[in-house]
Amino acid sequence: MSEGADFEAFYQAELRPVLEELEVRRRRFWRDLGGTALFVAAGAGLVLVLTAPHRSPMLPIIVAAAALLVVLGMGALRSGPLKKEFKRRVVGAVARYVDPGLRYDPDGHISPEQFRASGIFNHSIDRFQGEDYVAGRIGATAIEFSELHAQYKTTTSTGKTTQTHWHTIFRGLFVIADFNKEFRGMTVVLPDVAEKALGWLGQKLQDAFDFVRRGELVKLEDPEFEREFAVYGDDQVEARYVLSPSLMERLLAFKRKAGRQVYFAFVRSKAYIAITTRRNMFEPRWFGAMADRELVEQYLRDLRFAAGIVEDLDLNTRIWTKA
Amino acid sequence: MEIAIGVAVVLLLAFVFIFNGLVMRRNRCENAFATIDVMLKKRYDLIPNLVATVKGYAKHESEVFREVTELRAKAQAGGLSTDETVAVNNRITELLRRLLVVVEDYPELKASQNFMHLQRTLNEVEEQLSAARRAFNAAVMDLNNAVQMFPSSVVASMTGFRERRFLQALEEERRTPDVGGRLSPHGDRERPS
Repeated sequence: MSEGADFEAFYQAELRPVLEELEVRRRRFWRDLGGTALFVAAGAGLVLVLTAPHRSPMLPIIVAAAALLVVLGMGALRSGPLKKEFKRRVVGAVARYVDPGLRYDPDGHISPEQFRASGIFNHSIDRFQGEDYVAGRIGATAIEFSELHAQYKTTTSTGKTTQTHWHTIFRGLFVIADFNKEFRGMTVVLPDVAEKALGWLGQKLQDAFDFVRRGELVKLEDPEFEREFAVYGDDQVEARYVLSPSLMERLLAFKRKAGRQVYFAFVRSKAYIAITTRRNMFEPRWFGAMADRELVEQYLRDLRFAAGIVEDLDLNTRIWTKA
Repeated sequence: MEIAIGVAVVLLLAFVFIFNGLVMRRNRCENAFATIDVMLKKRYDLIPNLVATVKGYAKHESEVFREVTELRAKAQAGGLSTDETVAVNNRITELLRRLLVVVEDYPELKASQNFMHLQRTLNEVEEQLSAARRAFNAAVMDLNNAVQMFPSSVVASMTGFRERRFLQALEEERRTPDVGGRLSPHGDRERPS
C-alpha cells in the first residue's frame, strides 16, 4: 500500500534529506567499524606472533574473544546515538505528519503506575521496559502511547543451580486516551477465552472465579460482542453507560482491524487499550539502506493505527457533560 | 435411614442455595429499577429549565410546553404504577424530542450558552437512562432465566417468584440522544436492542 501525493510531498521535502544524511553516516559507521576491526585484528595478530614461542594453547582463543568484544563494544557505543538520532528525526517527523499535536520521545514510555492503573493485567511485575513514547492531543482528546514489555520471573532451583525464567505479562502497544464521558469506576473488557473454548460452561466459570479479582461480570446484549469479550466492572449501570451499543460495535471493529489480542479498560474517564504484538516497532534499519520509503511508510501505518484510536472509538464526540 | 437424612440435608441445602440466588436476582432487578428512577428524577429536574429557555422563542408550541409540564407534575406526584410510569416517561421523551426539533428553527437559541449546556445535560441524562434501562433488562433476563430453568424453576414456583417484563425503549429513543446527528460527525446511532 502506497501513500498518496500528500505524503509523497512530505517525504521528498522533509524526510529524504534527513534520511540521506543519516544514510551517509550509517555507511561511515560501518566503514569506521571495518577499519577498527582491521586494526584490532592486526593488533591481535601481533600479540600472537610475539607470544608464539611460549604460548599456551588457550591464548589464541582468549585473544580472538577479546578482539571481538572490543569491536562489538565499539560498534554498540557508536551506533546507539545514531539510532536515537534517526528515531528522533525520522519517526518524530512522521508523528508530526500524522497529527501536528503529537510529540515523540524515543526513550520515554508509559509508566508502570499507569500500566497498573488500567487494571487489565494484575500480575506483579518484575521487569518493565518500554520505548517509543508518543503523546499529544488529537482534536479534543489527549492521547499517549508507547511500546511496553512487562514481565515477571520465576526461579527454579535444582540442587545447586538456580534458574531464572522470565515470563511475559504483556508485550505490545499500550495506549491511553482521554474518554469522552465522565465516570468514576472501572470497566475492563478482556478477550473472552473461557466462553470461546467452553461456551455456556465457560461463562459459568468466568462468573464464578473472576469476580473475585475484577469485580462483577457484566453481561451485555450484543451476542457477537459477548463471544469476543468478557466484561468486568464495579458498577453494572456505569459499565453500560461507558459501553454504549455504538461503542461495543466500535470495539469489535477495532479488534478485527487490529487482528491481534486486544484489551480495553475504562477507568476514571480514561480509556486504556493494550494491543499485543511481537514486532519491535519504530526501529531504524541498520544492516541495509536507511533511506527506504517502505520503512517510513511502515512507521506511518503504525503511528496512524495508534493515533487512529481516537477516531475508531469516536472519542472526539463530546455531546455529554464532559467537555 | 442415614441415607434418607443425607438426601434430605442435600436437598435442603440445594433449596436454600437456589432460593438465595433467586432473591439476589430479584434484588438486582429492584436495584436496577431504582437507578432508572434516579435518572428519571434527574430528567424531571431539567424540564422546567428547558421549557423556560425554549418558551421565550418558540411561543406557538405552547401545547407542548403545557403537556410536558403536566406530565412532569403527574410523574413527580408519585403513586403511579410501573406501567403508568413507563407510559408517562415515554411520552415525555417524545415531547422533549419534539422541543429539540423545534429549536432547529431558532439559530439564536441553538447557539446560546444556556441552551447548549442544557442540551449536553439532557444528552447525559438520556445516556445514563439508557444504560440504567439496559442494566435493568440484563437483571431481568438473569432472573427470568433462573425462574424458567430447571432446577431453580421448581424452587421459584414453590416460593412464588415470577418472571418480570423487559423495559422496551421507544423506537425513536433507541438512538443516542444526539439530536439528529448535529453534534456528532457520524450521527452516532445505537443499534436496536
